[in-house]
Amino acid sequence: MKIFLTNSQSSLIQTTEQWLGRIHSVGMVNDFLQEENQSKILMKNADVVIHSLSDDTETGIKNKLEESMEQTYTLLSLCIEMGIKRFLFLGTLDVLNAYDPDYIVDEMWKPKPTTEMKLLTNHMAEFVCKEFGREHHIDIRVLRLGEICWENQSPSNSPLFVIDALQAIQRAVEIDLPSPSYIPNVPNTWNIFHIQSLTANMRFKISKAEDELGYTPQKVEL
Amino acid sequence: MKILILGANGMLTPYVTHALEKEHELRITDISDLSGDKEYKNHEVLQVDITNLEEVMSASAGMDAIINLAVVRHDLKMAFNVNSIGCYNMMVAAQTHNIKRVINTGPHWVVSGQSYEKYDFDIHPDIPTHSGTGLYAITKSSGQEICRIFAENHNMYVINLLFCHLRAPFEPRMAVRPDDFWPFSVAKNDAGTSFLSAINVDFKKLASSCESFFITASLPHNQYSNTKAKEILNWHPSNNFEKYWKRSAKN
Repeated sequence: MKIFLTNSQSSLIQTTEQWLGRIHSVGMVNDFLQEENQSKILMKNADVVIHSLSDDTETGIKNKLEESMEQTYTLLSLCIEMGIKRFLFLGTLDVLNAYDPDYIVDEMWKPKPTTEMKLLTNHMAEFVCKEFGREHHIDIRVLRLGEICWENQSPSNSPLFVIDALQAIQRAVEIDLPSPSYIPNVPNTWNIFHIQSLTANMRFKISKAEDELGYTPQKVEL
Repeated sequence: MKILILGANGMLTPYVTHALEKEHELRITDISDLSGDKEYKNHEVLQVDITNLEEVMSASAGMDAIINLAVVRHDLKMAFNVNSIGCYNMMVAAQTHNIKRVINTGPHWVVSGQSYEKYDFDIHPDIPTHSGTGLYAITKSSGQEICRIFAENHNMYVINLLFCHLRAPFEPRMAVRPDDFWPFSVAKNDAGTSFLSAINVDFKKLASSCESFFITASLPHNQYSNTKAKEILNWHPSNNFEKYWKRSAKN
């Protein structure tokens, strides 16, 4: 498959590019809006686009908001124009952190972002993606990722070890999702998946990713 | 009450100021210079770019309420900057200056985009938002979503007034046939009074910290409902355009 990624300065995206690059043709840019011409070349005949937001703390508020809404909108519009069939947005489980920590939260729960910039921008990018998914022109998959862990241990309540993140991303890139049997003729173009590594008594359910993507995360002892 | 109006250089502002100026003190602002405009000679006029956070912060100082009339419909970058990021700037300014009442505006597509409009009837403003991907609709809807998140997290109230066709009482509309009529229309003077209603409404009457209202005439088509605006805001349109849909009122 031919895959295009944004946000190339992110450590996770760089690792993803290396991981997927073993078996796929992968190209990436850092800022789609700033590198639109290069992006168009890399996106030509692509099968999948993987989009995520910069975690650069030096980026200004306005740029963060532009990246979240305008860049996501422009990128999705271009994907449709270029006939790209699949779009992954790598979001965050943090948009659900406002719920009582005792609750077991799956993809059916309404996001509750605060105005903290990471949460607000990830939520707004999802918000834009959802309207495209609703119109059925492109297959959009949001992977709400737990806290990425580069070490063997993590104090997070939603740890996501890199190897599990890579597995989830690869499966979301490669796997075709059928339409539900009760609406077989309607394209399945909007899916959210909660992605974290296995821990005891998990706050975020990952059964949808396990069932539909075949995601099999590691067990983590916290 | 001291009220800041953002994005005032539009067709609605004269009707808004007319409705508010007897009871309230207005600070009229726009990115363009309106200081020489006779319409606003009795009001404080400032040049403010809603996409500039510092300018919006400065203009909001000392205000009790903010009304956002700013809009860009067709230019992609400006639409996101004005319609979406402009709302962020407004809400940060409101939070900073402890302004509890914000009145935001947009087209009815903010809530009820093409997936409703072409198919449904009895559409009311509390339906789940489906803006669709049209630039104007999605940027305004994103702006409203940002307003909602601020209101829910920071003890503020946002009242979204949603419009479609704004008509002067006997203005021929931009249509192939001048007597065509869109069943989401409101006379501009009635649109103006909806802002007075939104400024006056008791927060206790609002079901949540962010509420939307369809500002349309009372029409028998049963497509869009203004019942919520009538019941909660106590807003009652005077012009219901009978001559466009009632044979006995035609002449």
